[in-house]
Amino acid sequence: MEKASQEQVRDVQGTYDIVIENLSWTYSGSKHPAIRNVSLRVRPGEVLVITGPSGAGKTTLTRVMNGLIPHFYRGEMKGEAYVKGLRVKEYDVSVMASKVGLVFDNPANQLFTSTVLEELAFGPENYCLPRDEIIRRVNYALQFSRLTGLENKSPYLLSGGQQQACAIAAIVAMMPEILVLDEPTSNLDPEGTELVFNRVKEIAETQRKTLVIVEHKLDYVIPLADSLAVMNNGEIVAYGKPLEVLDKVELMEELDLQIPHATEIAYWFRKKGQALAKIPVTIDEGVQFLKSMLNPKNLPRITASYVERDDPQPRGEVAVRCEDVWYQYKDGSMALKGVDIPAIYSGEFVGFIGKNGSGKTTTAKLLNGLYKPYKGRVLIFGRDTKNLSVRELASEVAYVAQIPDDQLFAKTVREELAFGPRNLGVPDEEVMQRVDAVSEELELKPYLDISPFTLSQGLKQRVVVASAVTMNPRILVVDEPTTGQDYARAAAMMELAKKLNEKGTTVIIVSHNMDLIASYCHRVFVFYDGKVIDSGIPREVFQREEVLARTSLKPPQVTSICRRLADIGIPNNIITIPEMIEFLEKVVG
Amino acid sequence: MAYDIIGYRPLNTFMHRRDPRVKILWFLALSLPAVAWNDPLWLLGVLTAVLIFNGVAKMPFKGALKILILLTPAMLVILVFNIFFFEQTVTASRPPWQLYYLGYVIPQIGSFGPYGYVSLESLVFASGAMMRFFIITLAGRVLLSTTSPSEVPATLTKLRAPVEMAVAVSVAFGMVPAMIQQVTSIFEAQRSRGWSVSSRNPVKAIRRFVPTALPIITRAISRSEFIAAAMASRGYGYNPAKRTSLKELKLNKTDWMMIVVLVSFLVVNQVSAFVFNMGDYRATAAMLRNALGIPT
Repeated sequence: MEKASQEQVRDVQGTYDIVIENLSWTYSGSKHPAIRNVSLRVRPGEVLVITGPSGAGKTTLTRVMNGLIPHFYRGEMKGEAYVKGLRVKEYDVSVMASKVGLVFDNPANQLFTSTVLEELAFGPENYCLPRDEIIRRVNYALQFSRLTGLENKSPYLLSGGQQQACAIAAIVAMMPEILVLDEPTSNLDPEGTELVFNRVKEIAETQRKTLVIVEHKLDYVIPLADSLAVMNNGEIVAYGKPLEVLDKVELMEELDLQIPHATEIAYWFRKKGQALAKIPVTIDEGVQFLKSMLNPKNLPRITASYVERDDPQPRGEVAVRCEDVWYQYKDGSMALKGVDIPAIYSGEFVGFIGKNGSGKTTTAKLLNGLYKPYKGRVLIFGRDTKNLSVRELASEVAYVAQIPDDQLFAKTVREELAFGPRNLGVPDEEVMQRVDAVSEELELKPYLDISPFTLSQGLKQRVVVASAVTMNPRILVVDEPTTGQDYARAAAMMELAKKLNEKGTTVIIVSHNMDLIASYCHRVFVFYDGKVIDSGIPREVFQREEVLARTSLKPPQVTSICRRLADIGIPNNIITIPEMIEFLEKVVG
Repeated sequence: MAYDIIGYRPLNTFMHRRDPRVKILWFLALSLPAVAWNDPLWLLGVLTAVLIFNGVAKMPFKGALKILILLTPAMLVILVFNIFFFEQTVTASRPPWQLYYLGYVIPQIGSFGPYGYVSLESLVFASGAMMRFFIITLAGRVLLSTTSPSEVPATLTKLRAPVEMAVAVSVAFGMVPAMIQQVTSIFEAQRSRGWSVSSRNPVKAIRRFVPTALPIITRAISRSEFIAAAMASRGYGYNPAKRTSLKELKLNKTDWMMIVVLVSFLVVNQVSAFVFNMGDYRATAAMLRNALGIPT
């Protein structure tokens, strides 16, 4: 009997590349398991996509696949995991890594040598390959990653997309049979995301490697996926063929995942009682789906007046003005080449958009005086920043950095919130009043006396914003609030900014996430090559093809779908899902 | 900022093309005489040689000037220490002579010895000591700026260092730009909150660094953990003893010629100093005394 079951196990291991059975893992020092009773099977050549909210246990699961768990991270493991027939518990990471390549989410945390060439050679060198073979593999990986010509450059000096392509190529050079990618595009701009997904597509379609991809951007990965697993609280809550999983509307909505707009539209029809043959995911599928659902002859002519609701005439005094602003880096290169922002009005909510390196963050740092213009003027409420220190400007402009851990240091959240106003010389009594008021407003009261380091990433971000707000700034600049965040957290951050904006704070958001920009911003400024090349309400800017093409920006998926359906009477300037649903309610509902 | 000045500059000059072992020898051949000789005139010759190589390696002279400015506080300390603790080198071949005193640095209090006197000799000696410091730093800069960190592991392996050490050094070099960026981000984040270090009280000033020091430490720790995991995920530790290398170091004809020239120069300068007592500061001091008409 025992022999029969052993043979069965061997059979299973022979059929599948990855077998995970009832696996639970608790990190040492933690009371709760990071993953619980997870079971998965991945066939050779299969593409498995894993999604779920932050903290669901996705990264932990990928760590099991290449043996980092249990050999590198400490903790308690229950259940079994086999990869390529090897029992993970028995083999060291260095052995497992020859079978499974693991790419992490943040390129900065996985590139560690001085040149691209060295980065690509590091793996093959560790496996003691002869020099000729290392050269062959490095050349192949260079070609694969489209990094030829950049081999002697420091990986650190590449663009975000190129960095991640380099990290993937470093794994490709090891020629593993299985590739595991853990949110490979969470830190990238749209252009970088495109570059990385094109590489992933090549691996999936031409090389037919077994792929496990942890990803929030489902519209990119679902077309490649053979199966989809949804995780929440350490468990797999849905697992199967992608479209079958996506069909679980209630679950998907409950988890607040970044559902493709095409799918959300289909969900609306499903709720209206329509039977759907296939759930759409991509723009093409969305277009086909709506064409099949809406009969143009029956569509009542509704001239949706979305533009009027945008209120393009802001009021209030001019909060920010940039006049032909130039900025030079220490190495002599020009980051800004004449940025002109005639006016950001007090009480506005604006977005800075554009690809990485276009000058958005540099401009944001000029606003609070961290950088001074090389040429031109930056005026904050009419005052030239050239003559003001960062400290003097801090009470006017608060700059919230991308990563909360870059600034948290105090013993308690209370101290963290009090730090800014104390630096500005605000009397202690008033500091405490502000801390009380802001913590109440931003729902941080229960955490005031605990260490900020023990908080979840989402709460840390809230503390960082709150610590800026206690300085009573009139302008709040938030740099990339979506970097490394899932959709729900990014949206929560935007809600926070909206709340402050409604109380009169001028908000400037630097972001790549066009869905959030469309939902929250009154106006956007489009950056390209150190200049502002366009500005206006998001709805108008998303219509300008040449601007989008030049800056590699992609409008929200719903806009792209609607623009292709203008001939059947769908307004082409819908930019959010609520607007789309409002339209559908009118014409179908 | 420091990394801008001493970090690797990817160029293709005569110095860049040399084998790292030759460059290490070059560094020793110019630094060791700077230690052996103490005559500022002789050291000026060495400094000129280093500056010529600096030019050959196409290192901007502005960087050399920046180093000089950065070293100024340390050089001043050297100056003051050398004046305070100056003692004549007295050996059988170097009999004592009467120093020419210029005055006091601080008034003589009680029996507070000869220290505090400024003599012509101590000034000559101190200026040599300062120059020595500058030469070694500048030569080090040429070595670092012309040697790619990617050559470091292969060089260390050739010099029979353990593979683990070679990889560790290479990774440390590779991480420098990322760490600098990290530190800059942290400083910017805290400055945006009105933070500054300005305090006249040095204890308070140190305490004011806590808001930046703490994030720097925690971020560095978490980054190291990620990097270690990334290295393990690329098979590091599979078989370190037999680890191979993409980079191959080979000495060419020019390298061998450089080795001959540098070894000869090294032998000559060490013999001149330790056998023939040449390059002694007293030669310049005597010249100055003659010129100023001060009897020896």
